[in-house]
Amino acid sequence: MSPSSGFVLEARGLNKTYRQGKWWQKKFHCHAVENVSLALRPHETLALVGESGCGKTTLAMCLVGLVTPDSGQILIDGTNPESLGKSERASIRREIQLIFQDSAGALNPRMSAIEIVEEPSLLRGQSRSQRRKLAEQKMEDVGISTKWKDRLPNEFSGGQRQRLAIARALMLRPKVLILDEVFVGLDLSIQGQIANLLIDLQQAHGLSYICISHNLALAAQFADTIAIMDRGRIVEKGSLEEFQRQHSMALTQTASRPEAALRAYSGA
Amino acid sequence: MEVLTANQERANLSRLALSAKNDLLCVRNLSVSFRLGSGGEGSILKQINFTVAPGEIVGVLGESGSGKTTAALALMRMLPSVAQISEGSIDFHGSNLLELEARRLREIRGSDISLIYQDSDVLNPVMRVGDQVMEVLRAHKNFPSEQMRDEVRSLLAEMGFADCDRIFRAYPHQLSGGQRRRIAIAQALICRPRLVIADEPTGWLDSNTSGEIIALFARFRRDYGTAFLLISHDPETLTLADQALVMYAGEIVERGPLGELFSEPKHPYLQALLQCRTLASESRIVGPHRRFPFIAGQAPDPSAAIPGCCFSNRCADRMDTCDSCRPELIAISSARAVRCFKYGDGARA
Repeated sequence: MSPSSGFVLEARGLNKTYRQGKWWQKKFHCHAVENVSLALRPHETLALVGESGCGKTTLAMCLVGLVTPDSGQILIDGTNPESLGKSERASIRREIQLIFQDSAGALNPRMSAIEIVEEPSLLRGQSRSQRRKLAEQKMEDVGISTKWKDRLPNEFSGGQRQRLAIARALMLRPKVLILDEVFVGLDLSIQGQIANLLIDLQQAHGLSYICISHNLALAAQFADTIAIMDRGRIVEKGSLEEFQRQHSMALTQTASRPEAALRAYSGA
Repeated sequence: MEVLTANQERANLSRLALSAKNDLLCVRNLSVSFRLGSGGEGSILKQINFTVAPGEIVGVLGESGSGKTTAALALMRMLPSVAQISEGSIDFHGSNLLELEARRLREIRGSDISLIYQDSDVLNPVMRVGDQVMEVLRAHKNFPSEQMRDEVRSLLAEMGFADCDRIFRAYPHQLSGGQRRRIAIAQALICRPRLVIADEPTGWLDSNTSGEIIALFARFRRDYGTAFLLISHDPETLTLADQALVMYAGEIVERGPLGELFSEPKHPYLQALLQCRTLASESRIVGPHRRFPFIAGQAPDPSAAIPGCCFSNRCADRMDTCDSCRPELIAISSARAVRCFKYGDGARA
């Protein structure tokens, strides 16, 4: 590992194209991610903002290794996981965890809360009691009482399921959490709670976040750095201060009239 | 200011219903209860009253578990088997939906009243989305298929799809979440219904697309006189609404013209909820220990009988009476009503 780069996660020139259409049909190429480079420092929160279908989720999938990019490199702690052996690659990839869009739907409906949270640590070969203990601790960390550990996911509210998904992602002690639309679908009255929890966890565990959102105002509330994505490319990137200086108009607009504001960036 | 008892309120509403015979939808004392596995009963909706005039947009603001989706399903008579309508009536365009026979109801559903589901995965995964929109049209209209195809194409174009032909032929998995959502909305709008019940129409959509959807609703209202019942947990979605109802734990806690509700909220729940909007506001909360506002605690369990106000356990302005007496919906002006002891002459401080 070469910590010299100072980035926990770095992407260089990522490309991913989906092909639609069978051999007898007209081909349609969808450039989901096009020449995307980004870098994430420790403790940093990067917001990735863009419309739906602009490739945010594909980019997230590439970063965690669920989708193989057509070209480009991903460096975790300055190391390219592709250059490592299988077991080392798996262990370095654990440092990046993804919380899925619609995390509630990503929880196994037949598993109890504690089983869901402890499942990722099966990979680490710990003893059962160790796993349980760690999982209970993570549940406490995210604010879910351990007396609910035997409940099934459908017995929790949306906000609690989101907390479970966060606890599960924390089990492997990641350095980076990718939050794919974590606030969407949550009640307004608990969005603040989840945001507070994420800020607390960042301070306690020294996490870096990539916060994927379609809401520019929310991103500005939450992030240190903002990257705007449009049709697979990052069209603009900068620290929040720079961003506010240049686009204070647009940010104010987003708060009052969200639909118009994002359009202002398209093709910027 | 006057305090209305449930009976007076009922009488008032029936007077209103008589005077405004042309209401498109009139819901009176609608209560929905459900059976629990343990044999008990819980109530999800408690005596809901509201009307929708032709071409009117009524917003329903409420969080998960507040009963807003149940209300939507009850209006379509599509409640799951564990839930039943225990009381009330739903008059739609002169006929009581609760007494209609199945065949007539089927004609109304989808063509006169349509529902946009909250769940975005209502599409058949092995059928082209264009055909799925056309299927609705085929069920209700007797057009030649070429004309139907043109209708669907033009609606897709109206909905902001740039490449209609590709979208028409695509399967659901080839579309993004926002695109699938718009297809589901197209299914609801294709027959030009009189009333569209939109349950979280812009959930999961980015602000750009949701703006387009809202603009589309506005255009539909203007061009076809469609009335909308917009159901959402997000106040931003309701910007289009003329009137709004705020629901909490199966009750309407406040109602009135949307602008007034948001500029001077009266019920403590609505006040707290509107404060939570800071997460998407322009002024950034700063500092090492920044904290976003939220409403602590949880909504009451619908199976538990609550003697007092259902919001009292989370309320910042709780009084002694709140735990023991159930507040009634009090008219505080001609257009507004609120269910809280803080208001009206009957306020017991």
